[in-house]
Amino acid sequence: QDITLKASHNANAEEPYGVGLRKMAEVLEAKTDGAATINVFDNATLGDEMESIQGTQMGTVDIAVTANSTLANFVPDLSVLSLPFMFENAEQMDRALSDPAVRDAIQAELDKQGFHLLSIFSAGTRHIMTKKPIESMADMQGLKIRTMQTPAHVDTFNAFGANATPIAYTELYGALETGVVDGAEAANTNFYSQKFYEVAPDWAVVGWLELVSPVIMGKAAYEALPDDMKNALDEAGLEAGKFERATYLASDNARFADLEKAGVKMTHPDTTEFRAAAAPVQQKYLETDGQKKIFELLKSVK
Amino acid sequence: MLVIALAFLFLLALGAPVVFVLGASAVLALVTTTDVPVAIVSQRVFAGLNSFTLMAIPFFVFAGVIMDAGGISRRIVNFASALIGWVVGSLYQVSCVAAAGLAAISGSGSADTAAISAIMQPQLRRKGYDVDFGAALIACAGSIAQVIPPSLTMVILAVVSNVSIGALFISGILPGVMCILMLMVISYFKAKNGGDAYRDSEPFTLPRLGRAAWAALPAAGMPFLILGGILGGVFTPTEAAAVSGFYGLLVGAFVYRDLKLSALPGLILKTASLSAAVMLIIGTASVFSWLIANANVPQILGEWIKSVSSSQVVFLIIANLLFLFVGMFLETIAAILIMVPVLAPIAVTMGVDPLHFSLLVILNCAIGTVTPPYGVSLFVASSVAGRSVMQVSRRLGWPLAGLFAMLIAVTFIPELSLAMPRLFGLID
Amino acid sequence: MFALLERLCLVLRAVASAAVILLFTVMMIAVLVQIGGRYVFNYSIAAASEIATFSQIWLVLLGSGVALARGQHVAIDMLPAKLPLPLARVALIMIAAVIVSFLWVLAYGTQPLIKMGAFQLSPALQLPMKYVYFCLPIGAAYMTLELLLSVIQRWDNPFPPPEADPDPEEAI
Ligand code: NA
Ligand code: NA
Repeated sequence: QDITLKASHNANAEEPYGVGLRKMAEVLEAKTDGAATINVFDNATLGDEMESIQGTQMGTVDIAVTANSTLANFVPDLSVLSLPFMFENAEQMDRALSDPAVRDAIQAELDKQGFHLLSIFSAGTRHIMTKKPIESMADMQGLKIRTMQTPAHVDTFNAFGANATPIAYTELYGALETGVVDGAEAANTNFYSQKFYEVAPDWAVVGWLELVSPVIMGKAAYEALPDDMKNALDEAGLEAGKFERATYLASDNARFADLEKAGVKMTHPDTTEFRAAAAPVQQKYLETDGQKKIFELLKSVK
Repeated sequence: MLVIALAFLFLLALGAPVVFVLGASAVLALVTTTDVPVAIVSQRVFAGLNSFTLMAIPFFVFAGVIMDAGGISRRIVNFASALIGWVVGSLYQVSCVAAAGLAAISGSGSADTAAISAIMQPQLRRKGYDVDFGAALIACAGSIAQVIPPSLTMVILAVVSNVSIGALFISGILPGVMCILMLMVISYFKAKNGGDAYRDSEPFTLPRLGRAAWAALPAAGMPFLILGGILGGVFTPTEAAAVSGFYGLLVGAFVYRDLKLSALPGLILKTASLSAAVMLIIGTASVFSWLIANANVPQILGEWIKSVSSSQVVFLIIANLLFLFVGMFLETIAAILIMVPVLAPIAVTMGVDPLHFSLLVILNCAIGTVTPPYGVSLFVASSVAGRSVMQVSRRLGWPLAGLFAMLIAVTFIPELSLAMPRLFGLID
Repeated sequence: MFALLERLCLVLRAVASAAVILLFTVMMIAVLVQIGGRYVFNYSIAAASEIATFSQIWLVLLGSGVALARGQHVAIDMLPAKLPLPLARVALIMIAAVIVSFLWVLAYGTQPLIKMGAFQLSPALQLPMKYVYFCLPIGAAYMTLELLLSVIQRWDNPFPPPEADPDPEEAI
């Protein structure tokens, strides 16, 4: 092979990120007759998301998959993508992310800080795990819920009536077990694979966030590739994105059965009041023209 | 590659600080074997330190420093020697028991080693014990904090190798306690063959025990506060480290009044420079682990093992040897993140119980923090004792042999790790 | 020249020591406030653990310089202690050269991080990350200075045996 690109992500090889990147490698190889391929590094062995994003600029990794909330620390206008209830559901998210106008708008923001968008993966629909059943938003009152440190997420859970609480991810399991926190938010995948259900067996299927994960390269590294390679890579990215999101959706649905089997108690609270509580948070974080534009574009896809 | 290994050993032998030997060899490997920009060095050093859970190290070092300066350790040791002062080599025994107690409270081997060292070393020295053996013993006993739950290492491992955290926690209790008992037996014989220094002259009397217990009561509150706080959901193990430091400060300054607040800045500075020396190593070691991952070493290794043998016993022996070797040079979490994704799937295909395998990994990690040239527990124990790593390493033989014996037992008797989880109904 | 270096170093050491004491105090208070807020008042301060973590990183980089001054970085120095003085001096200089090269790489390699850190914001505080990344070059520079001073001071006795705190309780 003439070109081997290093791709970094933080999940296990068989989880959707790993599957999606390997699909990207497979398509790229096919389209370039084996002249280019991607070497996938799982489990954050080349660095976590923040370091991988930096790595695409420093030349230490070529391709990085990153939760949007991490990327938004570098490209603030992208924070729109991780607002609560930004997407109707996983299907609408898939349609929105397939829309060329949406992709162009995201690329325009990435351009400003020197990133190239290859693909957009899904990191799943986020629900709420607790140690007591959540039948309605009122049950969230006063609960200490661990969230990511993103200000919009903190505000969202405070708006739900909970107390958004920062806890290091590595300490979350123990914190749930002993009751330092009463719950946390996660996708089916993490909830299951990290065994959080052992210590927080109530799973309120709220879908408060569709976590999207852009797959990026450094713009300079991308531009340095020959033209036919750039095209092959972009096409591989598109195809892998569609595949990964479909894989995620399928595995997400299959996970519900696994969780049921593991003894998880699921509730399906009415999301209307959650959405109403999140609406002001959405507005608060629509500050710049770039953010408003992406927001309108995403909303316009039905 | 050979050149780099030789440069590494040469610099080490020349007396260069380990932290910079690691850093400089990594840079050398980076520029000679890859075309990766050197900026990765800065990024990895930063990444190695950018961790909330790492904070347990400075806080527990502080707790140890403050407990010593505040007269807490003195009263605890007084109580312990009133209780078991008639046993030969009581301070060694106290070190082991205290390490086990702390292990049940905190999840970090290096932090426990730091706390026990800071408390016990001045006493060992004062009573004329073999300080080097003491440091080696405390390094080994402290490292068992990773085996006895709670354990940060176990949480990380459980996530990577997809076993139940609860089951892994429970599976560590029996082997962990056995390791401590083993160390107690070894230090008993060591002390028995030693001189008069190991025989406390005061005999056991109830009034003496009562007085010592009363004096130690506020200090004895610390473990209960920590344990209660963690189990009661007030704070996390990392936060508990901060609380124990703060509690020690309060007791030392306001209950015992041994601690003058004017001494506090000096104690903090001592804490900071001691823990910075240890933590910077975690930073430079993470450059090394990045290089190993980048060179695809784990995959190559996995294929090699499969080609050697399909026997379960052979696999377990190879896995142990590999982990011991890697543990000599790498930081624990880095070793897990690099090795386990390669070895765990092979273990499954060989029919090894995932829980059994995980516990072997944990034991190896504990041992790895003691084995030279790179072992955080060893470094902490040596540096708090004010002895060189070489001096302490020469006394490592017996304690380490004890841990190896336990490793062998756990390797070949799966029930040692599986019986307790089974008893609690966590596995079939 | 030597006196100037020594004076500069002592001033910087005082500054670094004060900074390190302050950073540790901030770290401790941030964590205690986080626990108290969460448990007693059911109110969490999102930024507390980030403040503590960033303090920790600065503390390690500055504290490493202080540790260098106090000879607290672990080394295996049994062999060089046995060397005759001229050879020991050579070893001392070689070690210093290796350390300075590494510290230079550490500082130099921070450039792209600081460049990105101009627009990269921290998750909770939304603070430009360059203020945290600066700890690397500043820490490296301070360590270099302490190192040079220690080479000069140890010129006639390059590898002194390690000193324990003779008795911490008496030392205070
Ligand atoms: Na423990
Ligand atoms: Na080791």
